[in-house]
This record gives sequence, C-alpha cells and structure tokens, in this order.
Amino acid sequence: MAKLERPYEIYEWRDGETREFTVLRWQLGELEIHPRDGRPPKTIEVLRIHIPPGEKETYPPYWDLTSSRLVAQLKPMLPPGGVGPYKIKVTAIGSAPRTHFSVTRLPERLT
Amino acid sequence: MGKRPYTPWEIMMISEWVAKTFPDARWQTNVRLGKIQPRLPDGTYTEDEARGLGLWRRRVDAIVYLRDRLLLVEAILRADPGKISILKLYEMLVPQTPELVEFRDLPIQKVLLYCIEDPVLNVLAEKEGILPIQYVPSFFDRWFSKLAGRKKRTPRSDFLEGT
Repeated sequence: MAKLERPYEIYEWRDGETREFTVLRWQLGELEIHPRDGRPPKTIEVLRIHIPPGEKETYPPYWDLTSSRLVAQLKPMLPPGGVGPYKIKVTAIGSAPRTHFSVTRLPERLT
Repeated sequence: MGKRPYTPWEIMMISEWVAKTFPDARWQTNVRLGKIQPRLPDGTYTEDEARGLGLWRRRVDAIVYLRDRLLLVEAILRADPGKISILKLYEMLVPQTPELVEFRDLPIQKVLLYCIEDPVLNVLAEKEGILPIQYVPSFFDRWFSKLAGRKKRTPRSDFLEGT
C-alpha cells in the first residue's frame, strides 16, 4: 500500500463528537504513527478524505482518518474509484484507543 | 509471540453488506437504542449533555432506513444463537429511542447476518421472526486463515432432527 503524501492531517476525535463530511474523493494509504499514550510506533492503514474547502478552514483540504474501526466502516460505503461526492456523518463513542464509531451514509449522491 | 493486530472483522462485514445490498438507501452503523435517562433530578442537562449520556446505551450493528420498513441488523461471522435474543431486545428498544421517533410507525424487520452457518440458529431465527442471511465477505480467506481449526467448521445440529 502506498504511503500518503505529506502533510498528514490526522483527525482527532473527541468522545461524543459528531461531524459531517462531504467526501469529494478518497485515498487509501499507510503511515507510521507515534501514539501519545506511550504505545510503540506502528504502521497503520489510513483513509484520506478530501472535502470542500468550506468544510475546513485551514490547509490542506482533507482529513486523514486512522482508527481501524472507523476505516473499516467507511471503506465499503465510499464510492468506487475514489470519486464522490458523498455525505457521511460520524459520531465517536469513547476515547482512543477504544473509540467506537457510528457512521451514517446519507442516501443521495450529491451532484 | 507478538500480539495479533486488531481487525474489526464484523464491522467490515456489515459495512460491506449494507453498502452492496442497499447502495441508495440511508443506513447507519452502531446505532444507540433506548431511552436517554439523565439522572439529575432537576433535568438541567443541555441538549449536548443529554446526547452524551445517550452514548452509553446499547447499540445495534446497523439500521437500514427503507421506505416501508426499518431493517435492524446484527452481524456475526460465526453464527451464534445468542444473537436471537439480542435482536429481540433491540426491537423492543426502537420505540423508546428518541432519535428514531420519526420511524416509529414503520414495521421492523430483524436481520441476522452471518458467514459460517449454524443450522440451529436458522431454525430459532425463523421461529422468532428473524431473517437469517448468509453473506461471505470479500475478506473471507484472510479472516478464515486466522481461525483456530475447531472454529472452522459448522457446529453440529443433529439434535434438531425431528423438531
């Protein structure tokens, strides 16, 4: 699996947070992370979702999602070929590293 | 021996199944069910605080919002009869769930999604009005190769003969 280009923009979830994303396109890749809680570095699968500039105030216009539980839920629901846009809503339950996620895939493909 | 990396197989399975089966429907994974019960007697919780409390409720693997019904889906790779009672409980919790109030009038179809069959489970499920669906996910070989040998076969069901 290819390494994603820098800069990385890892989304840090807060317990109970809900956020909607409009996914314009997406990429799968991997990167090495250094957990802040003392666990050793490891290479993980990353889902990079590109979103409209209006949904994020700062550069770059994408988020890197690293939770294996979240990536596992999102991957099958994202449009084939990496092309969107699609809208998804994510709620985080619990704190890392044991966060669970509720994911809603909204029905309409945006045009 | 190193610790085996965590892989959320069941989440992967249900996400793949709903995405393939209902590409145009609205659906949601890990859905909280039941009442939100704040314990402060004066009810001074804000909307955000009450929602936070609601996160600790039971959760069903997925709900598919169809025009004429709600699908309540639990997924498991090796079929487990315990899921029958879990689905029955979740069905009872749906009418009490504030987030699902707009769907209260829709009939509920309970669905048990599994990969390795247990014939006992299919018999029980039918008796309880649950639709068992077998689904072989795209990652089956990868998952199956990591199973212990005794877990690779279907449980015996001969005691069901004559029932």
